[in-house]
This record gives sequence, structure tokens and C-alpha cells, in this order.
Amino acid sequence: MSGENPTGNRVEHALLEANAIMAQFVPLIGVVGTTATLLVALAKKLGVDTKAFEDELANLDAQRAGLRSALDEFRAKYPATASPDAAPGGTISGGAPSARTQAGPPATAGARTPVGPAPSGAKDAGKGSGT
Amino acid sequence: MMRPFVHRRAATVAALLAALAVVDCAGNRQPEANIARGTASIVEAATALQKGITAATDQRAIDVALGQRLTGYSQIVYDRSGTLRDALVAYHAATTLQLKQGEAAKIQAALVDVGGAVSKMLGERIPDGALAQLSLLVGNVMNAAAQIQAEVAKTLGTNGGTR
Repeated sequence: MSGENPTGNRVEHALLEANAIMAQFVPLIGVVGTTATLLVALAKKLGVDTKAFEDELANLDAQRAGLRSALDEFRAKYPATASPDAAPGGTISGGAPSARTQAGPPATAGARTPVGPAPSGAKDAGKGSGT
Repeated sequence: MMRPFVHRRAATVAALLAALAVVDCAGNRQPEANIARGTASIVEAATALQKGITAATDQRAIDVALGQRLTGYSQIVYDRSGTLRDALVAYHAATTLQLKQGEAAKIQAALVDVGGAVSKMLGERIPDGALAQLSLLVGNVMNAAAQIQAEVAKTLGTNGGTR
């Protein structure tokens, strides 16, 4: 068939060449497909990890809101000015324990009078006086 | 016909190596979720304790002044949990080891403050009923703090972040 029909020969040759060219691309298509599959899987994994972090952050925010509510509840019932130890005009700062409500050392801690020299008689105390 | 096959194998191996590198990066994201979970457990325990403080004050099991002091310490836990959260978000977004170390230092400092507030609570004269809840908080804080510090150290360690 090919020896008697030049046109057929050319067509057959062209088809064989095209087939050879396409055969070169088949592995490339496989690599591209594998890489694409991997990338999709990795994107999903990254998305899941990020979502896990965001979920935990949302949970943390919810827990903080609960603590905020509990703190507000206490302070609504027992404002700082209601404390007998609190100075008048005190306000709720919302921060660390205020100095007014902390049982710190007395303000006059340094007012203790220095101990002076012992009475002169004390130095000799204990010495035998009797015979 | 061997050349395309070799090229395909080489390309596949390269793609797998790249995939493993990305998986490693993704694995490093997981500690942040664990740290956030640990922080949430601390705040949850502090919330239970604060409700107990309010109830104990209502029932006059503790006096108001003590309740206010304990509430102040709970406030510290609340404040530092916010610091921890912000540092954690920045840690998650950090792209360099130096940035990560800076945020990790903030996380550690916030944990130290939380531990300090809890230890001050222990220094108060706590009635037996409230002591159980306080013990629960202390246990949760210690567990979560250890977990957080382990995660931070692990992340820095895998990046060679030693001083």
C-alpha cells in the first residue's frame, strides 16, 4: 500500500511523526498531573491547618469573653468602693489588684522609733553584786 | 525512549521533595493551634475560679476584700491571655526566625505573668471550698504552660533557633 501511493506514504509518515511527538508529551502530562495532585493535597492540608488554628483562636476568644463576663459580674456586685478598706472616690481600674485593696505593709512601716542605746544600768545587769 | 522516562522520574522526585518541604512547613503551623488551645484551657479554668470567687463572696465564705484581691489576679490572667493571643497571631504570621523568637519571648513573658498571678492567689488565705477550684486552676495553668513552652521550644529548635 505504501509503496504504490505517495500521498498515502506522506500521510502515514506524518501520522507516525505526530505519534512520536505526542508520545514525548505523555510522560510530561503524567508529571504535570502528579504535581497538580500533590499541590491540591498540600493546599488542602494547609487550609486544614490554618482552619484548626483559627478555630482554636475563636475558642480562645469565646473563653476570654466568658472570663470577662465573670469578672464584670463580680465587680457589679462588689465594686471597689464597697470595700471597707477602699479609699473614697476609688474607681474600678480593670487592671491588676489596686493598691487600695491589697493588703500591703502599713504606710507607717518606717515610723518605728530607732532603738537607742541601752540604759546604762542594763549593761551591768547580770553582774554579780552580792558576795 | 528512556529519556522521557528518566525526566519523568526526576520531575516526580523533585515534586515529592518540594511536597515534603511544604508539609514540613505545614507541620510547624500545628504548634500555634496547640498553644491557643492551652491558653483557652487556662482562661476556662480562670473563669470557673472567678465564678467560684463570686459565689463564695455571695455566701460570705470569703470576705469582700479577699474576693476583690482574687478578682484582681483573675484580671491579670485575662489581660495576659490577650497578650498571649496577640503574640500568637503574630507568631503564626512571622516569616523569619528572628520574628518568631521575638513573639515567642512575648508568649513566655505572658506565661510568667500568669504564673505569678496564680502563685499570688496561692499566697492568700483561701477557704477549703475555694481551695479546690484554685488547685484546679493551678493544675491547668501548669499543664498548659508546660505544653506551650514545649511547643515554642520545639518550633524554635527545628529551625535551629539556639542562642
